[in-house]
Amino acid sequence: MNSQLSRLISRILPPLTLFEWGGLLTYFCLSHRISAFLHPVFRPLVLVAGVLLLLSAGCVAWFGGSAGAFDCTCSQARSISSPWRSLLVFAILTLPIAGAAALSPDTFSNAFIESRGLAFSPRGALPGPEASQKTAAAFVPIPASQQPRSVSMLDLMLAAQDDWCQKDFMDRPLEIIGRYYPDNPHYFGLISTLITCCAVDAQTLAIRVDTQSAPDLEKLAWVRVVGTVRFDQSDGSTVPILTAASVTPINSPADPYIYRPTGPTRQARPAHH
Amino acid sequence: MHWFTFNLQDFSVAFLSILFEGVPFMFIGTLISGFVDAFVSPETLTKIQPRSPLAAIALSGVLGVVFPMCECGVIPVIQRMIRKGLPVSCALTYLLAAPIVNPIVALSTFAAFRGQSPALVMSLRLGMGFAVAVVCGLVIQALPVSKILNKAMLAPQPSRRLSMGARLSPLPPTDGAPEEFPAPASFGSKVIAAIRCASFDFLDVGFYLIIGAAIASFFNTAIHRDAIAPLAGHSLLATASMMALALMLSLCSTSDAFVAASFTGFPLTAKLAFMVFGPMMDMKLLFMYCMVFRKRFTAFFALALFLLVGAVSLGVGLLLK
Repeated sequence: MNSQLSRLISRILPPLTLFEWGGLLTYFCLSHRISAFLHPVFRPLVLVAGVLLLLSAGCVAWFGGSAGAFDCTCSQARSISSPWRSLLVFAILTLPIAGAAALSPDTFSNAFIESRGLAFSPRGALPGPEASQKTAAAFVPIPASQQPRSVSMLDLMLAAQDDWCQKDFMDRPLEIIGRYYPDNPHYFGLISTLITCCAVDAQTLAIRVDTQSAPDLEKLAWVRVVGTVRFDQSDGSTVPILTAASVTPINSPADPYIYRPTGPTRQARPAHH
Repeated sequence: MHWFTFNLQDFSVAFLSILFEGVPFMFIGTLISGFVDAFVSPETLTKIQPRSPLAAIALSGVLGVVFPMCECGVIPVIQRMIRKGLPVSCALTYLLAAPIVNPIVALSTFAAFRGQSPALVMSLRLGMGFAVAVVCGLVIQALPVSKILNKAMLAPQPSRRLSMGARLSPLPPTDGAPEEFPAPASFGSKVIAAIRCASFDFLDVGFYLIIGAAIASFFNTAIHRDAIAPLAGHSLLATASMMALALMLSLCSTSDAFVAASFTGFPLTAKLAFMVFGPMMDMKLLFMYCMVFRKRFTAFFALALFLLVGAVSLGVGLLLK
Protein backbone atom coordinates (compact mmCIF):
# COMPACT_ATOMS: atom_id res chain seq x y z
CA MET A 1 0.00 0.00 0.00
CA ASN A 2 2.80 2.34 1.06
CA SER A 3 4.73 1.35 -2.04
CA GLN A 4 1.77 2.04 -4.31
CA LEU A 5 1.20 5.38 -2.66
CA SER A 6 4.89 6.24 -3.05
CA ARG A 7 4.77 5.31 -6.70
CA LEU A 8 1.69 7.43 -7.27
CA ILE A 9 3.20 10.36 -5.41
CA SER A 10 6.49 10.16 -7.27
CA ARG A 11 4.59 10.21 -10.52
CA ILE A 12 2.27 13.13 -9.90
CA LEU A 13 3.64 15.51 -7.26
CA PRO A 14 6.68 16.99 -9.07
CA PRO A 15 4.82 17.83 -12.31
CA LEU A 16 1.82 18.99 -10.30
CA THR A 17 4.00 21.40 -8.31
CA LEU A 18 5.66 22.73 -11.46
CA PHE A 19 2.24 23.04 -13.10
CA GLU A 20 0.88 25.06 -10.20
CA TRP A 21 3.83 27.47 -10.18
CA GLY A 22 3.82 27.82 -13.96
CA GLY A 23 0.05 28.25 -14.02
CA LEU A 24 0.05 30.94 -11.36
CA LEU A 25 2.86 32.90 -13.00
CA THR A 26 1.12 32.73 -16.37
CA TYR A 27 -2.28 33.63 -14.88
CA PHE A 28 -0.91 36.70 -13.08
CA CYS A 29 0.69 37.92 -16.31
CA LEU A 30 -2.24 37.28 -18.62
CA SER A 31 -4.76 38.76 -16.16
CA HIS A 32 -2.47 41.82 -15.65
CA ARG A 33 -2.60 41.27 -11.89
CA ILE A 34 1.19 41.19 -12.10
CA SER A 35 1.15 45.01 -12.30
CA ALA A 36 0.42 45.12 -8.57
CA PHE A 37 3.66 43.34 -7.82
CA LEU A 38 6.41 44.05 -10.35
CA HIS A 39 8.11 46.74 -12.39
CA PRO A 40 7.04 46.43 -16.07
CA VAL A 41 10.59 45.46 -17.09
CA PHE A 42 10.38 42.20 -15.15
CA ARG A 43 6.86 41.18 -16.19
CA PRO A 44 7.78 39.49 -19.52
CA LEU A 45 10.34 37.39 -17.62
CA VAL A 46 7.58 36.13 -15.33
CA LEU A 47 5.47 35.15 -18.33
CA VAL A 48 8.39 33.35 -19.96
CA ALA A 49 9.22 31.56 -16.70
CA GLY A 50 5.55 30.60 -16.28
CA VAL A 51 5.32 29.10 -19.76
CA LEU A 52 8.66 27.30 -19.38
CA LEU A 53 7.56 25.87 -16.04
CA LEU A 54 4.37 24.55 -17.65
CA LEU A 55 6.47 22.94 -20.39
CA SER A 56 8.82 21.51 -17.75
CA ALA A 57 5.84 20.08 -15.90
CA GLY A 58 4.82 18.35 -19.13
CA CYS A 59 8.36 17.09 -19.66
CA VAL A 60 8.65 15.72 -16.11
CA ALA A 61 5.19 14.15 -16.33
CA TRP A 62 5.99 12.55 -19.69
CA PHE A 63 9.48 11.30 -18.92
CA GLY A 64 9.19 11.03 -15.15
CA GLY A 65 8.11 7.41 -15.08
CA SER A 66 11.25 6.00 -16.63
CA ALA A 67 14.13 4.92 -14.45
CA GLY A 68 16.37 7.92 -14.28
CA ALA A 69 18.51 10.11 -12.20
CA PHE A 70 15.71 11.41 -10.02
CA ASP A 71 13.98 8.20 -9.08
CA CYS A 72 14.62 7.85 -5.43
CA THR A 73 16.08 4.40 -5.04
CA CYS A 74 18.80 4.81 -2.46
CA SER A 75 18.17 3.47 1.00
CA GLN A 76 19.12 6.72 2.68
CA ALA A 77 16.59 8.65 0.68
CA ARG A 78 13.95 6.02 1.25
CA SER A 79 14.28 6.41 4.98
CA ILE A 80 13.73 10.14 4.68
CA SER A 81 11.20 10.32 1.90
CA SER A 82 8.14 8.65 3.28
CA PRO A 83 4.96 9.39 1.32
CA TRP A 84 3.77 11.62 4.13
CA ARG A 85 6.99 13.59 4.13
CA SER A 86 6.63 13.99 0.38
CA LEU A 87 3.10 15.28 0.88
CA LEU A 88 4.39 17.76 3.48
CA VAL A 89 7.04 19.05 1.07
CA PHE A 90 4.38 19.28 -1.62
CA ALA A 91 2.16 21.28 0.75
CA ILE A 92 4.99 23.73 1.56
CA LEU A 93 5.77 24.16 -2.12
CA THR A 94 2.19 24.72 -3.22
CA LEU A 95 -0.10 25.98 -0.46
CA PRO A 96 1.61 29.27 0.56
CA ILE A 97 1.83 30.56 -3.01
CA ALA A 98 -1.76 29.52 -3.76
CA GLY A 99 -2.98 31.06 -0.51
CA ALA A 100 -1.11 34.31 -1.15
CA ALA A 101 -2.49 34.46 -4.69
CA ALA A 102 -6.01 34.10 -3.34
CA LEU A 103 -5.56 36.56 -0.46
CA SER A 104 -3.46 39.31 -1.96
CA PRO A 105 -5.18 42.54 -2.91
CA ASP A 106 -3.90 44.69 -5.77
CA THR A 107 -2.01 47.07 -3.53
CA PHE A 108 -0.63 47.49 -0.04
CA SER A 109 -2.86 48.77 2.77
CA ASN A 110 -2.86 52.40 3.88
CA ALA A 111 -1.06 51.46 7.09
CA PHE A 112 1.77 49.87 5.09
CA ILE A 113 2.13 52.95 2.88
CA GLU A 114 2.50 55.15 5.94
CA SER A 115 4.88 52.72 7.62
CA ARG A 116 7.35 53.12 4.75
CA GLY A 117 7.97 56.72 5.83
CA LEU A 118 6.93 59.54 3.54
CA ALA A 119 9.76 60.83 1.35
CA PHE A 120 8.58 64.41 0.79
CA SER A 121 12.10 65.62 0.22
CA PRO A 122 15.60 64.25 0.69
CA ARG A 123 15.23 65.27 4.33
CA GLY A 124 12.19 63.03 4.58
CA ALA A 125 9.75 65.71 5.71
CA LEU A 126 7.23 67.93 4.02
CA PRO A 127 8.67 71.34 3.11
CA GLY A 128 7.40 73.67 5.80
CA PRO A 129 5.69 77.07 5.48
CA GLU A 130 9.06 78.83 4.99
CA ALA A 131 9.30 77.35 1.50
CA SER A 132 6.29 79.30 0.29
CA GLN A 133 7.82 82.60 1.48
CA LYS A 134 10.49 82.42 -1.19
CA THR A 135 8.02 82.22 -4.01
CA ALA A 136 4.56 83.57 -3.34
CA ALA A 137 1.90 80.93 -3.84
CA ALA A 138 -0.35 82.12 -6.62
CA PHE A 139 -3.77 80.58 -7.05
CA VAL A 140 -4.16 81.54 -10.67
CA PRO A 141 -7.26 80.10 -12.33
CA ILE A 142 -6.32 77.96 -15.32
CA PRO A 143 -8.02 78.96 -18.59
CA ALA A 144 -10.48 76.33 -19.78
CA SER A 145 -8.83 76.30 -23.20
CA GLN A 146 -5.47 75.29 -21.77
CA GLN A 147 -5.30 71.51 -21.38
CA PRO A 148 -3.24 70.48 -18.36
CA ARG A 149 -0.22 68.31 -19.04
CA SER A 150 -0.33 64.94 -17.27
CA VAL A 151 2.83 64.28 -15.26
CA SER A 152 3.93 61.90 -12.53
CA MET A 153 5.37 62.82 -9.17
CA LEU A 154 8.68 61.30 -10.20
CA ASP A 155 8.84 63.62 -13.24
CA LEU A 156 8.65 66.64 -10.94
CA MET A 157 11.12 65.22 -8.42
CA LEU A 158 13.65 64.46 -11.14
CA ALA A 159 13.09 67.85 -12.75
CA ALA A 160 13.85 69.48 -9.39
CA GLN A 161 17.44 68.33 -9.81
CA ASP A 162 17.99 70.24 -13.03
CA ASP A 163 17.32 73.95 -13.65
CA TRP A 164 16.71 73.36 -17.34
CA CYS A 165 14.15 70.64 -16.72
CA GLN A 166 12.34 72.76 -14.16
CA LYS A 167 11.53 75.35 -16.81
CA ASP A 168 9.77 72.70 -18.88
CA PHE A 169 7.20 72.21 -16.13
CA MET A 170 6.73 75.76 -14.86
CA ASP A 171 4.20 78.31 -16.07
CA ARG A 172 1.83 75.73 -17.48
CA PRO A 173 -1.04 73.74 -15.95
CA LEU A 174 -0.14 70.26 -14.83
CA GLU A 175 -2.32 67.32 -13.89
CA ILE A 176 -1.05 64.81 -11.37
CA ILE A 177 -2.67 61.80 -9.72
CA GLY A 178 -1.87 60.64 -6.22
CA ARG A 179 -3.25 60.05 -2.76
CA TYR A 180 -4.37 62.75 -0.38
CA TYR A 181 -2.39 63.07 2.84
CA PRO A 182 -3.65 65.91 5.07
CA ASP A 183 -0.95 67.88 6.84
CA ASN A 184 -1.88 71.54 7.26
CA PRO A 185 -4.93 73.78 6.57
CA HIS A 186 -3.03 75.46 3.72
CA TYR A 187 -1.26 72.54 2.15
CA PHE A 188 -1.41 68.76 1.98
CA GLY A 189 0.82 65.94 0.81
CA LEU A 190 0.19 64.18 -2.48
CA ILE A 191 1.51 60.65 -2.25
CA SER A 192 2.64 58.07 -4.80
CA THR A 193 4.22 54.68 -4.28
CA LEU A 194 7.42 54.20 -6.28
CA ILE A 195 8.57 50.76 -7.37
CA THR A 196 12.14 50.05 -8.43
CA CYS A 197 11.94 46.27 -8.97
CA CYS A 198 9.01 44.83 -7.02
CA ALA A 199 6.48 45.87 -4.42
CA VAL A 200 8.82 44.88 -1.60
CA ASP A 201 11.12 47.81 -2.38
CA ALA A 202 8.17 50.26 -2.50
CA GLN A 203 9.02 53.79 -1.43
CA THR A 204 6.42 56.42 -0.64
CA LEU A 205 7.06 59.68 -2.46
CA ALA A 206 5.16 62.84 -1.68
CA ILE A 207 5.08 66.43 -2.75
CA ARG A 208 3.49 69.41 -1.09
CA VAL A 209 0.34 70.83 -2.62
CA ASP A 210 -0.72 74.34 -1.58
CA THR A 211 -4.44 74.98 -1.43
CA GLN A 212 -6.67 77.87 -0.41
CA SER A 213 -8.69 75.52 1.77
CA ALA A 214 -8.10 71.91 2.75
CA PRO A 215 -10.26 69.47 0.74
CA ASP A 216 -12.79 67.46 2.71
CA LEU A 217 -11.44 64.03 1.84
CA GLU A 218 -10.47 60.87 3.62
CA LYS A 219 -6.81 60.34 4.33
CA LEU A 220 -5.08 58.54 1.42
CA ALA A 221 -8.07 58.98 -0.92
CA TRP A 222 -7.09 59.04 -4.60
CA VAL A 223 -7.23 62.54 -6.11
CA ARG A 224 -6.46 64.34 -9.35
CA VAL A 225 -4.76 67.67 -8.76
CA VAL A 226 -4.61 70.32 -11.47
CA GLY A 227 -2.32 73.23 -10.80
CA THR A 228 1.03 74.80 -11.41
CA VAL A 229 4.43 73.89 -10.03
CA ARG A 230 7.25 75.92 -8.62
CA PHE A 231 10.60 74.72 -7.32
CA ASP A 232 11.72 75.95 -3.91
CA GLN A 233 14.62 75.31 -1.60
CA SER A 234 13.85 73.22 1.45
CA ASP A 235 16.53 72.05 3.86
CA GLY A 236 19.28 72.54 1.31
CA SER A 237 17.64 70.82 -1.64
CA THR A 238 15.27 71.80 -4.40
CA VAL A 239 11.76 70.39 -4.11
CA PRO A 240 8.67 70.75 -6.31
CA ILE A 241 5.63 72.42 -4.74
CA LEU A 242 2.27 72.39 -6.49
CA THR A 243 -0.25 75.16 -6.24
CA ALA A 244 -3.62 73.54 -6.77
CA ALA A 245 -6.32 75.07 -8.92
CA SER A 246 -8.55 72.04 -8.35
CA VAL A 247 -8.46 68.83 -6.31
CA THR A 248 -10.88 66.15 -7.54
CA PRO A 249 -11.48 62.77 -5.90
CA ILE A 250 -11.14 59.84 -8.32
CA ASN A 251 -11.39 56.06 -8.23
CA SER A 252 -8.17 54.18 -7.55
CA PRO A 253 -6.29 53.67 -10.84
CA ALA A 254 -5.75 50.21 -12.32
CA ASP A 255 -2.02 50.54 -11.72
CA PRO A 256 -1.46 52.11 -8.31
CA TYR A 257 2.29 52.55 -8.59
CA ILE A 258 4.76 54.74 -10.40
CA TYR A 259 7.92 53.08 -11.64
CA ARG A 260 11.53 54.14 -11.56
CA PRO A 261 12.78 54.45 -15.14
CA THR A 262 15.27 51.77 -16.08
CA GLY A 263 17.37 53.98 -18.36
CA PRO A 264 19.21 57.14 -17.38
CA THR A 265 16.97 58.78 -14.81
CA ARG A 266 18.00 62.34 -15.50
CA GLN A 267 15.49 63.82 -17.88
CA ALA A 268 16.60 64.91 -21.29
CA ARG A 269 16.78 68.65 -21.59
CA PRO A 270 13.85 70.10 -23.51
CA ALA A 271 14.68 70.69 -27.15
CA HIS A 272 13.64 74.35 -27.12
CA HIS A 273 16.32 75.12 -24.56
CA MET B 1 5.58 55.24 17.43
CA HIS B 2 4.18 51.85 16.45
CA TRP B 3 7.18 49.93 15.14
CA PHE B 4 5.38 46.69 14.47
CA THR B 5 2.09 45.88 12.71
CA PHE B 6 1.07 42.76 10.85
CA ASN B 7 -1.44 42.67 8.01
CA LEU B 8 -2.00 39.38 6.20
CA GLN B 9 -2.86 41.05 2.90
CA ASP B 10 0.28 43.20 2.94
CA PHE B 11 2.23 40.07 3.78
CA SER B 12 0.66 38.33 0.75
CA VAL B 13 1.59 41.19 -1.58
CA ALA B 14 5.19 41.21 -0.34
CA PHE B 15 5.44 37.41 -0.44
CA LEU B 16 4.22 37.19 -4.04
CA SER B 17 6.42 40.12 -5.05
CA ILE B 18 9.53 38.35 -3.81
CA LEU B 19 8.50 35.14 -5.56
CA PHE B 20 7.56 36.82 -8.84
CA GLU B 21 10.83 38.72 -8.89
CA GLY B 22 12.96 35.77 -7.86
CA VAL B 23 11.39 32.85 -9.72
CA PRO B 24 12.42 33.83 -13.29
CA PHE B 25 16.05 34.29 -12.24
CA MET B 26 15.95 31.16 -10.15
CA PHE B 27 14.58 29.24 -13.11
CA ILE B 28 17.33 30.61 -15.36
CA GLY B 29 19.81 29.46 -12.71
CA THR B 30 18.33 25.97 -12.57
CA LEU B 31 18.31 25.74 -16.38
CA ILE B 32 22.00 26.65 -16.46
CA SER B 33 22.54 24.11 -13.70
CA GLY B 34 20.68 21.43 -15.66
CA PHE B 35 22.60 22.06 -18.86
CA VAL B 36 25.92 22.17 -17.00
CA ASP B 37 25.01 18.82 -15.50
CA ALA B 38 24.18 17.30 -18.87
CA PHE B 39 26.85 18.86 -21.07
CA VAL B 40 29.87 19.82 -18.93
CA SER B 41 32.06 17.08 -17.58
CA PRO B 42 34.03 17.45 -14.33
CA GLU B 43 37.23 17.09 -16.35
CA THR B 44 36.33 20.09 -18.51
CA LEU B 45 35.66 22.17 -15.42
CA THR B 46 38.97 21.19 -13.89
CA LYS B 47 40.83 22.07 -17.10
CA ILE B 48 39.52 25.64 -17.28
CA GLN B 49 40.33 26.52 -13.66
CA PRO B 50 43.52 28.45 -12.91
CA ARG B 51 46.14 26.28 -11.21
CA SER B 52 46.86 28.79 -8.45
CA PRO B 53 44.15 28.72 -5.75
CA LEU B 54 44.54 32.45 -5.13
CA ALA B 55 44.12 33.23 -8.83
CA ALA B 56 41.11 30.91 -9.00
CA ILE B 57 39.44 32.64 -6.04
CA ALA B 58 40.22 36.11 -7.39
CA LEU B 59 38.86 35.13 -10.79
CA SER B 60 35.69 33.80 -9.16
CA GLY B 61 35.29 37.18 -7.49
CA VAL B 62 35.10 39.03 -10.80
CA LEU B 63 33.26 36.36 -12.78
CA GLY B 64 30.01 38.23 -12.14
CA VAL B 65 31.16 40.92 -14.57
CA VAL B 66 30.98 38.37 -17.40
CA PHE B 67 28.25 36.11 -15.94
CA PRO B 68 26.03 38.40 -13.87
CA MET B 69 23.66 36.44 -11.67
CA CYS B 70 21.29 37.60 -8.95
CA GLU B 71 21.42 35.92 -5.56
CA CYS B 72 18.38 33.70 -6.27
CA GLY B 73 19.75 32.34 -9.53
CA VAL B 74 23.31 31.76 -8.42
CA ILE B 75 22.61 29.09 -5.79
CA PRO B 76 21.54 26.23 -8.10
CA VAL B 77 24.46 27.07 -10.39
CA ILE B 78 27.11 26.85 -7.69
CA GLN B 79 25.44 23.77 -6.21
CA ARG B 80 25.88 22.05 -9.58
CA MET B 81 29.41 23.42 -10.04
CA ILE B 82 30.51 22.04 -6.67
CA ARG B 83 29.10 18.65 -7.63
CA LYS B 84 31.10 18.89 -10.83
CA GLY B 85 34.30 19.49 -8.94
CA LEU B 86 34.61 23.26 -8.60
CA PRO B 87 36.45 24.04 -5.34
CA VAL B 88 34.07 25.19 -2.62
CA SER B 89 36.23 28.27 -2.01
CA CYS B 90 35.77 29.41 -5.64
CA ALA B 91 32.05 28.60 -5.60
CA LEU B 92 31.52 30.55 -2.40
CA THR B 93 33.51 33.51 -3.70
CA TYR B 94 31.36 33.62 -6.84
CA LEU B 95 28.20 33.15 -4.73
CA LEU B 96 29.06 36.20 -2.60
CA ALA B 97 30.54 38.44 -5.28
CA ALA B 98 28.32 37.85 -8.32
CA PRO B 99 25.22 39.65 -6.97
CA ILE B 100 27.36 42.77 -6.29
CA VAL B 101 30.30 42.76 -8.70
CA ASN B 102 28.33 42.99 -11.93
CA PRO B 103 27.54 45.80 -14.37
CA ILE B 104 23.80 45.94 -13.61
CA VAL B 105 24.35 46.55 -9.91
CA ALA B 106 27.11 49.06 -10.69
CA LEU B 107 24.74 51.10 -12.84
CA SER B 108 21.83 50.93 -10.41
CA THR B 109 24.08 52.02 -7.54
CA PHE B 110 25.38 54.92 -9.60
CA ALA B 111 21.82 55.99 -10.46
CA ALA B 112 20.58 55.65 -6.88
CA PHE B 113 23.33 57.83 -5.43
CA ARG B 114 23.23 60.51 -8.09
CA GLY B 115 24.06 63.76 -6.33
CA GLN B 116 25.74 61.89 -3.44
CA SER B 117 29.18 61.06 -4.93
CA PRO B 118 27.81 58.23 -7.09
CA ALA B 119 31.15 57.14 -8.59
CA LEU B 120 32.71 56.85 -5.13
CA VAL B 121 29.76 54.92 -3.67
CA MET B 122 29.62 52.59 -6.67
CA SER B 123 33.38 51.92 -6.56
CA LEU B 124 33.33 51.33 -2.81
CA ARG B 125 30.39 48.96 -3.04
CA LEU B 126 31.93 46.86 -5.79
CA GLY B 127 35.39 46.98 -4.20
CA MET B 128 34.09 45.96 -0.77
CA GLY B 129 31.92 43.23 -2.27
CA PHE B 130 34.92 41.80 -4.11
CA ALA B 131 37.26 42.08 -1.12
CA VAL B 132 34.84 40.48 1.34
CA ALA B 133 34.07 37.64 -1.10
CA VAL B 134 37.76 36.92 -1.74
CA VAL B 135 38.61 37.00 1.98
CA CYS B 136 35.76 34.56 2.65
CA GLY B 137 36.95 32.35 -0.21
CA LEU B 138 40.50 32.26 1.20
CA VAL B 139 39.25 31.40 4.69
CA ILE B 140 36.95 28.69 3.33
CA GLN B 141 39.84 27.18 1.40
CA ALA B 142 41.61 26.49 4.68
CA LEU B 143 38.62 24.63 6.14
CA PRO B 144 37.83 20.97 5.51
CA VAL B 145 34.97 20.51 3.07
CA SER B 146 33.21 18.15 5.49
CA LYS B 147 32.72 21.08 7.87
CA ILE B 148 31.16 23.21 5.15
CA LEU B 149 28.97 21.16 2.82
CA ASN B 150 25.83 19.38 3.94
CA LYS B 151 25.43 15.61 3.76
CA ALA B 152 23.60 15.60 0.44
CA MET B 153 26.39 17.63 -1.18
CA LEU B 154 29.12 15.43 0.30
CA ALA B 155 27.49 12.16 -0.72
CA PRO B 156 28.12 10.63 -4.16
CA GLN B 157 25.97 12.10 -6.92
CA PRO B 158 22.96 9.79 -6.71
CA SER B 159 22.27 11.00 -3.18
CA ARG B 160 21.05 14.28 -4.63
CA ARG B 161 17.79 12.38 -4.43
CA LEU B 162 17.64 13.57 -0.85
CA SER B 163 16.78 16.98 -2.20
CA MET B 164 13.30 18.45 -2.07
CA GLY B 165 12.61 17.58 -5.67
CA ALA B 166 13.47 14.00 -4.91
CA ARG B 167 11.48 14.02 -1.73
CA LEU B 168 8.47 14.49 -3.93
CA SER B 169 9.49 11.22 -5.64
CA PRO B 170 9.84 8.59 -2.96
CA LEU B 171 9.95 5.60 -5.27
CA PRO B 172 11.01 2.40 -3.57
CA PRO B 173 13.88 0.39 -5.02
CA THR B 174 12.91 -1.79 -7.91
CA ASP B 175 15.76 -4.14 -8.62
CA GLY B 176 18.56 -3.26 -6.28
CA ALA B 177 20.59 -1.99 -9.22
CA PRO B 178 23.68 0.08 -8.51
CA GLU B 179 22.88 3.73 -7.89
CA GLU B 180 24.34 5.16 -11.05
CA PHE B 181 23.09 7.95 -13.24
CA PRO B 182 22.34 6.70 -16.70
CA ALA B 183 24.61 8.60 -19.06
CA PRO B 184 22.46 10.21 -21.76
CA ALA B 185 23.92 9.38 -25.14
CA SER B 186 22.26 11.52 -27.79
CA PHE B 187 21.90 15.29 -27.83
CA GLY B 188 18.11 15.01 -27.46
CA SER B 189 18.31 12.77 -24.44
CA LYS B 190 20.88 15.11 -22.91
CA VAL B 191 18.48 18.05 -23.37
CA ILE B 192 15.65 16.10 -21.75
CA ALA B 193 17.96 15.10 -18.90
CA ALA B 194 18.95 18.76 -18.52
CA ILE B 195 15.31 19.90 -18.35
CA ARG B 196 14.42 17.23 -15.83
CA CYS B 197 17.46 18.10 -13.78
CA ALA B 198 16.56 21.80 -13.96
CA SER B 199 12.98 21.04 -12.91
CA PHE B 200 14.02 19.14 -9.83
CA ASP B 201 16.66 21.72 -8.95
CA PHE B 202 13.91 24.31 -9.26
CA LEU B 203 11.82 22.43 -6.72
CA ASP B 204 14.84 22.16 -4.44
CA VAL B 205 15.55 25.87 -4.46
CA GLY B 206 11.84 26.74 -4.51
CA PHE B 207 11.33 24.95 -1.21
CA TYR B 208 13.89 27.17 0.52
CA LEU B 209 12.80 30.26 -1.39
CA ILE B 210 9.23 29.80 -0.12
CA ILE B 211 10.31 29.62 3.51
CA GLY B 212 12.82 32.46 3.17
CA ALA B 213 10.39 34.68 1.26
CA ALA B 214 7.70 34.12 3.88
CA ILE B 215 10.01 35.20 6.70
CA ALA B 216 11.39 38.12 4.69
CA SER B 217 7.86 39.29 3.83
CA PHE B 218 6.86 39.14 7.46
CA PHE B 219 9.72 41.40 8.53
CA ASN B 220 9.42 43.60 5.46
CA THR B 221 5.77 44.46 6.07
CA ALA B 222 5.59 44.26 9.86
CA ILE B 223 8.61 46.32 10.94
CA HIS B 224 8.46 50.07 10.37
CA ARG B 225 11.64 51.39 8.85
CA ASP B 226 11.50 54.52 10.97
CA ALA B 227 12.18 52.31 13.98
CA ILE B 228 15.92 52.41 13.30
CA ALA B 229 16.04 56.16 12.55
CA PRO B 230 17.20 57.11 16.10
CA LEU B 231 20.35 55.01 15.56
CA ALA B 232 21.50 57.08 12.58
CA GLY B 233 23.75 59.35 14.65
CA HIS B 234 25.92 56.56 16.05
CA SER B 235 28.30 55.12 13.48
CA LEU B 236 28.54 51.59 14.96
CA LEU B 237 24.84 51.22 15.76
CA ALA B 238 23.83 52.73 12.42
CA THR B 239 26.01 50.22 10.55
CA ALA B 240 24.76 47.26 12.60
CA SER B 241 21.12 48.31 12.30
CA MET B 242 21.36 48.82 8.54
CA MET B 243 22.87 45.36 8.11
CA ALA B 244 20.12 43.88 10.29
CA LEU B 245 17.61 45.71 8.12
CA ALA B 246 19.21 44.30 4.96
CA LEU B 247 18.93 40.82 6.45
CA MET B 248 15.23 41.32 7.15
CA LEU B 249 14.17 43.17 4.00
CA SER B 250 15.76 40.65 1.58
CA LEU B 251 15.87 43.09 -1.33
CA CYS B 252 17.23 42.34 -4.77
CA SER B 253 20.78 43.65 -5.28
CA THR B 254 19.65 45.70 -8.29
CA SER B 255 17.14 47.70 -6.23
CA ASP B 256 18.63 47.86 -2.75
CA ALA B 257 20.80 50.89 -3.56
CA PHE B 258 17.66 53.00 -4.05
CA VAL B 259 16.39 51.97 -0.64
CA ALA B 260 19.81 52.59 0.93
CA ALA B 261 19.99 56.05 -0.65
CA SER B 262 16.64 56.96 0.91
CA PHE B 263 18.10 56.60 4.43
CA THR B 264 19.46 60.09 4.22
CA GLY B 265 20.18 60.51 7.91
CA PHE B 266 22.50 57.51 7.99
CA PRO B 267 26.27 57.72 7.33
CA LEU B 268 27.72 56.38 4.08
CA THR B 269 29.42 53.52 5.93
CA ALA B 270 26.05 52.22 7.14
CA LYS B 271 24.63 52.42 3.61
CA LEU B 272 27.64 50.58 2.21
CA ALA B 273 27.26 47.88 4.85
CA PHE B 274 23.58 47.57 3.86
CA MET B 275 24.46 47.26 0.17
CA VAL B 276 27.31 44.78 0.66
CA PHE B 277 25.81 42.59 3.38
CA GLY B 278 22.28 42.38 1.93
CA PRO B 279 23.11 40.62 -1.36
CA MET B 280 25.40 38.20 0.50
CA MET B 281 23.08 37.28 3.34
CA ASP B 282 19.38 37.85 3.87
CA MET B 283 16.44 35.91 5.25
CA LYS B 284 15.68 34.04 2.05
CA LEU B 285 19.35 33.36 1.31
CA LEU B 286 19.84 32.07 4.85
CA PHE B 287 17.45 29.24 4.01
CA MET B 288 18.63 28.77 0.45
CA TYR B 289 22.25 28.38 1.59
CA CYS B 290 21.10 25.34 3.59
CA MET B 291 20.68 23.57 0.25
CA VAL B 292 24.45 23.56 -0.11
CA PHE B 293 26.00 24.16 3.29
CA ARG B 294 25.62 22.61 6.72
CA LYS B 295 23.15 24.45 8.94
CA ARG B 296 25.75 25.11 11.62
CA PHE B 297 28.21 26.43 9.04
CA THR B 298 25.50 28.68 7.56
CA ALA B 299 24.73 30.15 10.99
CA PHE B 300 28.41 30.79 11.80
CA PHE B 301 29.02 32.11 8.31
CA ALA B 302 26.14 34.59 8.62
CA LEU B 303 27.57 35.88 11.89
CA ALA B 304 31.13 36.06 10.54
CA LEU B 305 29.94 37.86 7.43
CA PHE B 306 28.02 40.34 9.57
CA LEU B 307 31.14 41.12 11.58
CA LEU B 308 33.44 41.23 8.55
CA VAL B 309 31.24 43.52 6.46
CA GLY B 310 30.61 45.73 9.50
CA ALA B 311 34.34 46.00 10.22
CA VAL B 312 35.23 46.72 6.60
CA SER B 313 32.50 49.37 6.36
CA LEU B 314 33.63 51.11 9.53
CA GLY B 315 37.24 50.90 8.33
CA VAL B 316 36.30 52.51 5.02
CA GLY B 317 34.45 55.17 7.00
CA LEU B 318 37.60 55.98 8.96
CA LEU B 319 39.66 56.19 5.76
CA LEU B 320 37.15 58.55 4.18
CA LYS B 321 37.25 60.98 7.11
